[in-house]
Parts: sequence; C-alpha cells; structure tokens
Amino acid sequence: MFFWIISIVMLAIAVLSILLPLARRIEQSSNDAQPMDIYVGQLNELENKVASDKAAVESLAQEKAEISRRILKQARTESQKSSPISSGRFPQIGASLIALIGVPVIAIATYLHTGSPGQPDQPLHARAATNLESSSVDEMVLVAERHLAKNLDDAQGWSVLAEVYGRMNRPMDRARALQEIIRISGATPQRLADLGEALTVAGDNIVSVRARQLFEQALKSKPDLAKAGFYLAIAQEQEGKLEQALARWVSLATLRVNDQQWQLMTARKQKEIRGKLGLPDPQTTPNTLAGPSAEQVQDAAGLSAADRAEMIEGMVANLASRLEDNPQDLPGWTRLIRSYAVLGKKDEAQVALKKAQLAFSDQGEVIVQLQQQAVQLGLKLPRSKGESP
Amino acid sequence: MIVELGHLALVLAFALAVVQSIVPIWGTFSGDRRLMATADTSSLGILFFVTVSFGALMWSYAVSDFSVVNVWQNSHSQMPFLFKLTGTWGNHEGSMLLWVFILALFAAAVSLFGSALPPSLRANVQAVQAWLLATFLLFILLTSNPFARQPAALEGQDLNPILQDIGLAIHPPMLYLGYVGFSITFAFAIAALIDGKIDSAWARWVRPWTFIAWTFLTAGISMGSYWAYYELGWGGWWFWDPVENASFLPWLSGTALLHSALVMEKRDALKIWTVLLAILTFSLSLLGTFLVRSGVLTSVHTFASDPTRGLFILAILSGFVGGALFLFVLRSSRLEAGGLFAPVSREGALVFNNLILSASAATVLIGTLYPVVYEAFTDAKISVGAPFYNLTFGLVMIPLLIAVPFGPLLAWKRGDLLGISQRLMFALLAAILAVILTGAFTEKGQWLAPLGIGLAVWLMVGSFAEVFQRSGFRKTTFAIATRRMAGLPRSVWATALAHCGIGVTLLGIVSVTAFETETITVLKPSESVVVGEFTLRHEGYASRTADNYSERSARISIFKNGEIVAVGTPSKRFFPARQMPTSEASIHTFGFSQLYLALGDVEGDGDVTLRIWWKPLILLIWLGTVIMVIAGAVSLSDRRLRIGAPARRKKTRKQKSESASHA
Repeated sequence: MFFWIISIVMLAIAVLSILLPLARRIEQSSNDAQPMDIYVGQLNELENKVASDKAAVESLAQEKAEISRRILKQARTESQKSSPISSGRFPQIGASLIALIGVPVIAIATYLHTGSPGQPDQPLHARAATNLESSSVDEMVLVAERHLAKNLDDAQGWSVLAEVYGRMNRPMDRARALQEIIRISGATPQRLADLGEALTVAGDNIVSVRARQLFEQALKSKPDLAKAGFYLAIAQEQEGKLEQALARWVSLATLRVNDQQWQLMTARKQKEIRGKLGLPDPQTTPNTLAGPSAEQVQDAAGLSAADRAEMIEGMVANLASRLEDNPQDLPGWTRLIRSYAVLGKKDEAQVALKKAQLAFSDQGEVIVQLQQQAVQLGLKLPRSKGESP
Repeated sequence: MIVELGHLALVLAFALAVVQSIVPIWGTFSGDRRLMATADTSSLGILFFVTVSFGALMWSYAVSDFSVVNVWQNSHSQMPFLFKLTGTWGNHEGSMLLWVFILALFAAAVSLFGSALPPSLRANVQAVQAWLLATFLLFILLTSNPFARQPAALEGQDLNPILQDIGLAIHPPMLYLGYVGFSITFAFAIAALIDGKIDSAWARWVRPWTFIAWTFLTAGISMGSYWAYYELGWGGWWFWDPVENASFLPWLSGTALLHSALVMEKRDALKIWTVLLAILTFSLSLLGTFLVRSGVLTSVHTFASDPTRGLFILAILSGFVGGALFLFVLRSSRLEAGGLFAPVSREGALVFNNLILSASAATVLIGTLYPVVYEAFTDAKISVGAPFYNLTFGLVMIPLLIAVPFGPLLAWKRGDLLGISQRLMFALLAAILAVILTGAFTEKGQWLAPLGIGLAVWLMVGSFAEVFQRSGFRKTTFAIATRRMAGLPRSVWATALAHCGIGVTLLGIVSVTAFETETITVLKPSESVVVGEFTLRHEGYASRTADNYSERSARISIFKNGEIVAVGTPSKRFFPARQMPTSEASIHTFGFSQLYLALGDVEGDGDVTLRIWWKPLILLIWLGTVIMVIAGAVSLSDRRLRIGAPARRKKTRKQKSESASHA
C-alpha cells in the first residue's frame, strides 16, 4: 500500500513538472538572451583591450569593425521578427493533455511490463535473520565456504565440503576442494583418483588429459586402486585403444572379487568392447543372471541387520540401474520386481512392473508371465496396450 | 520497495523524456513560450527520477540485495563496502544507468545555466537532449534493465576482480562526463540546424560546454590509462586497445572542435565545419559506446555481450548519426560563409590543427574498425597493434606538435611568420640544447629519442611564448611585466598550460619508450638481481586471506647504493567466487620515474618469475594530462566564458534600475 502511495506521489511530481510551466503566465521578457548580448560583450571586451594596449589599436580596429557589422546585422533580424509569447490555447491544451495522459500511460504501461510491483526488498541482513533456523544444505555449504575462504588450510573442512559437493553434483567445486586437500595434506593415490573423477564428471564423463595423468599417477603408487583403473580403462576406450581397454577390464575384474556390482560391470564392459572389436565371448564371461555369489551370501550372513539391509538395497539399486541401460532382460526384471515386493517397496515394484511391460510390450507371453508374477506378489495390474477398459 | 520505486522512477524518467522530446520543439515551431518552458522543469524532473533510480540501485548494491539480478551477478556480500558501491556501474546495466544519469545531469545543466541562451535555441537543445534520454532509457528498460528481479539468491557471483579497485570509482564517471558532455554540443548543433541559424554567438554558447566535456574526457582517459597501468600488471600505459581508442577518438575530434569553435566565435568562419565536428564528436562517443556495449569488441570493458543489445545500440547509433548528418546535408547549404583569412594566420593555424587532428582521428578509427570489418568478411581475426599506430598516428601528429607554439602567437586574418619565429627563438634554443644533452647520454644510432625529447621541450617552452610576449618582458621593466602577466586573460594562461601539458606528456612518452628497461628473471628466495642502479632481493613469500580473495605475495627488498629504499610486495590474488586470478603489481616511485614489479607464476619449488621494469619519467605522461585538465578548469573560470554570465549581469542591472526607480 505504502508503495502505491509513494508511486502516486512520484507520478504527480512527474506530471506537475510539465503542467506547471504551462499554467504559468509568461511575460514578454525583454531580458531574453539574444545573440546581441554576445556581440555587445565582445565589443566591450575589445574596448578594454584597446584601452590597456595602445600599441594594438590599429589591428584591433579591424576586429571592432567586424563585430559592429555583426551587431548591425543582428539588429536588422531582431527588428524583423518579435516572437509571440503564445499562439492561442491549442498548444497549451494539447501539451497539458500529453502531460496528463501521456506520462501516466507510458509510465504505468512500461512499469507493469518490466517491473515486479510488490516484490519486497531482500537485503542480505534481513535474509540472514529470517533463515537461520531453517538453514538449508545450500546455506550450510555457504557457511562452510565462507569459513574456508578465511581458513584456507583447514583440510578437514575441505574434505567435508568435497564430499557434500559430490552429493550435490557440483563436480567443479568438488575438484577445487580436492585440490585444496592435496595442496594441504599432500597427494595420496586415493585423492588423485578422486580429483580425476571429479574432473571427469565435470567434463561430461570425458576423461581429459589432465584427469588421465592423475589416474596414471595414482596407479603408479597403488596399482590395485580400482577407481583409477576404472577411469583409465574408460579413458583408453574413449581414445579408441580398445585392446588396451579390454586388457585393463580383464585385470580389473580380478580386483574386488566379492563385489558383485563390480564384477557385473567389468564383465559388461568386456562384453561391450569385445563386441566393438568383433571378438567372440569367452566361456569365462560371468553369468549376468547370477544371484549373489556364495561368498556374498556368507558375508551377508555375518553382517548386522542394518548393514545387511544396506547391502541388499545396494544390490537392488544396482540391478535397477543396469536394467535402465539394458531393459531386454526378463529374468532381471522378474528379480527386481520380486526384490522390491519383498522389501515392502510396493510403489517401486509397481513402477518396475510397468517398465518391464513396456520393455516387452511386443511379446505377449512375456507380459502374461510378468502379470502372473505380479498377481502372486499382490501387485495391481497396470493396463497394457490394446486391452479394453 | 526501494528497488521497485527505483524501477518506477526510471520508467517515469522515460515518460518525461518522451514528453520533452515533443512539447518544447512544438513550442519553438508554434512560437509558444509556455511549451518551450516545459523543458526547463521536465529536464529537472528527469534528473530527479534518474537520480532516485540510480540511488535505489546503489542502495541495493550496498545492502547486497540478491533478489535483484544485476546485484546478484555483479556483487558479493563479502566485498569491501566501497567496491559494493562502485560495483553499481561495474557492469553493463549499471554503467548504462550511469551514462543516462550523466546525460540527465547535462540536460538539467542546460536548464539551470542556460539563461544566456535565446529561448528557442534552448528549447531545441533540450528537446534534442530529450531524444537522447528517451532512446537510452528505452534501451535500458527493454534490453538492460538493472532492476530485473528474481527469488533472492544466497550469495552473489562477485564483481570482476580487475574492477575491484578504487579506479572504478573514478574512471567511468569521469569518462562518461566527457563522453556524454559532448551530447550537449551535439544537441546545440542539431538545434542550430533545425533553426537554420548559426553565427558566432552560437560558437560562444557552445564553447564552455565543449570545455567541460573535453576536460572530463581528458581526465577520464588519463585515469583509465593509469588504472590499466597499475592494475593489469603488464607494465604498459596505453595499449591501443579498441576500447581505449573508442575514448581517444572523441578526444581528438573534441580537441579539434575546441579550436574550430574559437575561429567561429572570433571570426564567424569555419561554421559548417564546426557544426560537423560537433556532430562527429558525439557520434564518435556513441560509436565508442556501441563498440564497447555491443560486444563487437572484447576487452576488459565488455562486461557481457548480448546480440539484441548490440542491434539496439547500432540502431540508436545509425539513427542519431544518420539523422544528424542528413539534417546537416539539408541545412548546411543555407549557412553563410564567414570571414576570409590568409593561409598564414591564427585561423590558418587552427585549420591546420583541425586537419591534422581529423586525419589522426581517421587513422585511429581505421585501425580500430579494420579488424572488425576484416573479421566480418573473412572470418579471420587480426589485431592492429602499436606499430600501425606509431607509424600512422605518430607521424601525422609530429607536424602538428611542431606547429603548436606558433598558433597562439599568430594574429587573426594575417600573421607574420618571421616575426613569430624570432619570438620563438629561445624555445628553439632550449629544444636544441635538450637534443644535444640527451644525444650525449644515449647510445649511438638512437637518434629518435633525443629528437623526441627536443620536440617535447620545444612544446613546453614554446607554449609560454604568448604569455611572455603579452606581458612585454622585452619592452618594459620586469615589475610591470610580471604585473601584466598576472593580469592576462585566463584564456591565455589556459592555452599555454594545455599546450605545455602536451609537451610534458610527450616527454614522458618519449622517455619511457626510449629508455625503459625490462628484466625478466627467475628469483629464488634470498637471491638478488641488479636492475640499473637498484638491487632487488627476494626475501620470501607471504600468504594472506581477505574477505573475498586469497593472496600470495613475494617480499622484494629494493636497495640503492647499498641502502634499502623500498620493500615491494608484488602478488597474485585469487578470487574464489569467480575462480579468477589477478596480478597485483608493486610500484615504487622515484621522482617522476617508477620501478614496476609484477609477479609471474610461482613454481612448485619456490621459484618465482619476476618482471621488473624501470620506467623513467613515466609519471610525466599523466602529469601532462593533469596540467591539461587544470588548463580546462582555468579556461572555464574565465569570466568571458562563464556559462550564462552575460544574461545574469543584464538581469541584475535591470533589477537594480527597477529598485532605484521605486525608491
């Protein structure tokens, strides 16, 4: 409200600044400035000069004659026309209307088009006061950033921030934080690989020369560092060195033998590259449909309930993401839907069912098979194409 | 609310400018004095609203209101308060608002101080000013609105670190006062063409405004040059960067305008040419604005480029320049030719000045635009650098510099070159002495440097020949002559000072160009290097963190004759918000000369690349411009040029006589 009152006052000032002179009575002013003033001034000045410098009289005389001629000429033109004060009511009324209507219309129309009426000011201190209780992650990051900007050597702070940046998908910032950590606490293979990873993610998953060097450096001191090997294999593949990449994947498969995700992934990459190279699949290709290996089950048995749940969750998530990439995998889908149902995640199960049906929408028997499973698990049947309501 | 009121004020200023574009000129055509008088109040109204608007934007910068897009993009809550304020114009939108603010300032100045102008001329001038105001306000509102809002962001994106400097507080406002000041001479030219009446009185009215604009432009360019010198860390003071050229072009033609307006006022000659110069000078200012703001050229000054803005400014440029030149073609044939003069005369000398300044402006213009045009046609990038300008601009300027001391001594209409040459004999002797002395101290083969210094001395000494002559030191006693000297018109002093300033600047330029030394060395802590008469020792590194940057600096002790004379701390700063490093040079002044230290990259094992320049007499470059600025101020203080003086005198006389008759 206050805003609009001030706006109206401002508008009034604007309109009045045009209306007032229009309403004023203007006298014919004989003291209007005219070119004559200038010439007379010039003449006076010249006369002063003549008075002070007797020697120059002769040369100044010419100048004086010239100015006198200008004065005569000016006098002639001035006597010919004397401008009127006003030429009737029409210009006055017209100009008043322009002021009264034109100014508000132009101003309001433009402001409503470009402005944000009613949006309050949000100076920093006001925002800081209101938002303290409900600080979001963003704000906490900001506080951490400010702290670190002043305490550049706080390695602990940087590593927390690097972690958060990673989760927030801010790879460039993560890379910066990791660089600070390396500067402060020195390079370990793990840090180098992390930095390389951040740079790679920031570069749209293309391994740059710099990142590649970081991975190589990391591997030099720790040859079995899976992360570095992984990205180096990707780099080699991106560079078209497929044989080298394949060899690396094969050797990577020997690491983390207990990690099923890892095994699946390395196997899939090997298969892909073999495909690109036109090589046949060797017998040793692990069965992609295999469930958890015996060791994994054993491991799981030894874990606490929470850890076990986490492990299972991880495996399910992994399966789901693999199916996103490669949906033509019926046993996979079956397992995923069952897992979700067993874990009590009905909604996810429902979504997975729908996706599976989409993936095999052209194969009737498969759909039937999926639906049977769904009924067994107590899921609702989504409508598939062609079915009448 | 303040932000939105600022926005509304901007819109109201626009509306008023639209009205002021129409009503006063309607008044001059219909002969209605009331309509003409609206311009006086509405231009004050525009100034009021633009000031409110500018103040509101500045306020939102001061309090870091990141709900304003412009503030969010160009500020940071941790910046020092001064830079928060100056950040207001450290970006495209804000600097355009500053541009318009100064335009409004000058338009209002015509209303406040224009009482010496005939009403119809004043109304037309104000209308032309309003055209400019309305156009640029529309440009701001449509393409570069500084008051655009967004949901408040947490932190700003910081001001470009190079701009986080006191220079930003001074350089742009000064430069804009110069650039935009020429809008008044432009408005005068257009108003006179509309009226179809141009005489020596017109030149008399235009000259003070030209002086104001020229003085500020000189200060602005000089300040910008010094800023670039100490902030960019390259050790250069002029780069022939397109944007520098863009400010130098109006300076050249504005200088020509100053001189030709003098001829027009005194002799009623060169009228058409003067009007053309008035149009061209402001056109060059607009061209500069276009080149910088459109993003056609990339440089430090290009904050952000946006093709729609470029197109809009191009339209403004072609509209105003094209329109003005069209009007000029239509009307110039009606203008009467002025007085006659012999080639060797004051007028002749001023024409010579104008020819050379125009020619040199043309060479700079070609050098600036050629790469742009070349790129447009061939898609290849080229840059025109110092060698081109030294060869063309430098060569063209030499005859003018030689001629400068002659000009003020020549009589109007017909001059006596021989007599004047005799009066300049002592300046010539001083110059020859300077050549011999410098020649003795420079290596063989370097004949340019002594000649350049001789030319500078010729200018500095010769500039005062008129003062010397008019005081009559040869004819009368010393006491009388000194008294006369003090009583000389200020314009004489202004001329002498301005010309002498050019000599001083030239001396600085020649000496730096010829005698500068550059040493690039890798220095480990505790190592030393000898540069000329100085010994520099690396004392180690220091790190420091400020609110919005971190800094690593090297401590360099500077010894002269075994004694420590200064401690340098050249440094590298890193601004995390923009992920941008800057280099902070460490500059030490010895007399008029400077030792300039800049840090290269710090290598891993503690080595540092250090660039050391010895810049003899470099401060004279800027000292000369300061003298020129003082000359401009002296000239403005001359009673005869004071804006509005005659009319006020007349009025007070009239009032006095009235009150006398009452009594």
